[in-house]
Amino acid sequence: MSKLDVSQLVDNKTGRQNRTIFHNQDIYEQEQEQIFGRCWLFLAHDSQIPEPGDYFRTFMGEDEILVIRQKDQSVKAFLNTCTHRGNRLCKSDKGNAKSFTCSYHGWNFSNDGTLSGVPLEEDAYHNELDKTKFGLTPVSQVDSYKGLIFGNFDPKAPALEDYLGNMKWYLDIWLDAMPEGTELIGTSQKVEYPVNWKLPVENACGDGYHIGWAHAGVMSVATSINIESLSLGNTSVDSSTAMAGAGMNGHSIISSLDGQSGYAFYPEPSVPVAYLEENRDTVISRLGKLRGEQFWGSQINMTIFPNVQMLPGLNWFRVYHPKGPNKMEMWTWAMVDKEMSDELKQTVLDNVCRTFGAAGMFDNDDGENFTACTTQNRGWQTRQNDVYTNMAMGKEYAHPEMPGVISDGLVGEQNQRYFYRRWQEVMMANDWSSMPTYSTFDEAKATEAN
Amino acid sequence: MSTSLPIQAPVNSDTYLAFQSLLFKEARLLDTEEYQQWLDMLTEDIHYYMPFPARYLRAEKNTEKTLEANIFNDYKPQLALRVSRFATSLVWSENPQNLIRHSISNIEVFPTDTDGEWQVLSLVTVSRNRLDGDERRMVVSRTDTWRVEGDQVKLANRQMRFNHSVVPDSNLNFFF
Repeated sequence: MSKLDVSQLVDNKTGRQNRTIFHNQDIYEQEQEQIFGRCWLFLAHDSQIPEPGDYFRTFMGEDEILVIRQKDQSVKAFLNTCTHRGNRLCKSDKGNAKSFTCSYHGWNFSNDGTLSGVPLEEDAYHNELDKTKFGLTPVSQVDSYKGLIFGNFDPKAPALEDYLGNMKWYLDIWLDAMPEGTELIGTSQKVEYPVNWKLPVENACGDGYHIGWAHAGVMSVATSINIESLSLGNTSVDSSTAMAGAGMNGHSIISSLDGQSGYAFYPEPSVPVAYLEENRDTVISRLGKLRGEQFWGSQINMTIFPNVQMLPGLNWFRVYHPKGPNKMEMWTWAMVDKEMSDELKQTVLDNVCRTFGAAGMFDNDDGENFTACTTQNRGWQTRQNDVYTNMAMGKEYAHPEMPGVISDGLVGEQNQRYFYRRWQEVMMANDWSSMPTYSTFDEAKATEAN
Repeated sequence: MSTSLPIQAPVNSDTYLAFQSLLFKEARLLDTEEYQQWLDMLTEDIHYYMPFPARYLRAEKNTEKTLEANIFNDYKPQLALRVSRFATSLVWSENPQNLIRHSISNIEVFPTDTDGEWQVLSLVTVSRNRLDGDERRMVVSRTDTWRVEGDQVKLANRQMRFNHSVVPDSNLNFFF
């Protein structure tokens, strides 16, 4: 398939996207190849597969993946498909296994991916099958960053640390704040939305604008800490109390800078806030004053391009698996510091479920909007139109300490523009060597397309 | 000529019919969004729990370590909070009102060791019409404890099993 030209479908200079990118099947297929086939994609958290033989079944794009902890504690990932006739190999969500046996003809694969057993190998295959040629198909690169395991289908993709670039400075606000690091808790919460996968990413990567309006109902009954950079009904906001950061290879963050509002939607925020204050000195000594005092504990949304979002405070960790241009599955877990007490971990898990779970009072406001933003594009006339993320254009600046392109406030559309810029770059680049790379303000500006 | 049955119902037919009426009334209140009346049917110490389903091989022993995520893990204050959210009229996805019907079936009623408490099993099938032709159907099994309180019988505990590995709707702005 020759590559579609998406150069006219997104315009970062005006914040414009053509609506066909949320609908077109060919564009979707190109996303599978160019984006999900070449970007680092989240596979699992270390805490989900701690022991040798522990495995977790997930997706990279639409490809089903088996992620397995090896004897030497390294992690391998494979297409979850039998190399004989293509059946699904493992059907369990997770577990521990020395080997996996296909339910079709009984081929058996060791948990390092080698084909170890073929029924009737002698009587029917006459010992002529070269088993070394039929091991599981591995994901080319697997690496981890501070507990988060990622995979990449492209052997030529840059190393994970380079891919994350300066976003690591922000990720560490959660992943490396406490000495023991983080863990994911709770079974996978899976919800299917009739939604294009880019819309929820766009939303949580930078859209503080919708919060005071789309979530007005729950905000009016469940807010226990005031967030000055947001307001119920969007009557007014103080943008000086929050920041948005983007221009880091598509990764981004929005954050309040008050050090506690992450727990604004807990009915009893005093418990998690006490945890924050008990440990704040530790975090300041590890991350410095700015991150320890102003970021840690704040309302924060972090996005790892293309499809991972983590919200410390609200404490959810989420990946969006595309299932066609008009469908995606959202997988959510609670992420906690290992140092938290079991009681606090349970409190956090319950609050994640109550706010952003399947019956979560915040999440249940978003699905309807994302759905309609997707399904409206079934109209041929409708999808000839453009949509815009053009709020506060040109207000970006370089910050002496915060990396990337910075704007003030949670209410803004800078990060969305950088998300679609990255989407377009990855959709257009022939290979990684021609892919723009930027992680600072100056680099982001210097690589901007004309 | 009738042969007497070698089996016996766990409770007498009056008790069974009383609980059937109660479950049907509850379903009607949920269909018509009369949530304050529904809250009044719950004891003050109600636990309303629905874990998130996960699929493991039958022989898998290594899944116990995973904390159960939940769809609902609510006591009365959290249920009342959800109701107060609906009452704000600011939940845009519920306007226009979604057409919802709770069908109750497979009712079994058992006495318990505690005086004045019954265990009631049931299935609820929820049919929910969203906008236009958008239709969702969900099935949940329920294990209830109902308790006599004064001249009422109130729901004290509801342990639910959601019959879908992946939630098939973008919101669950209702109760099961």
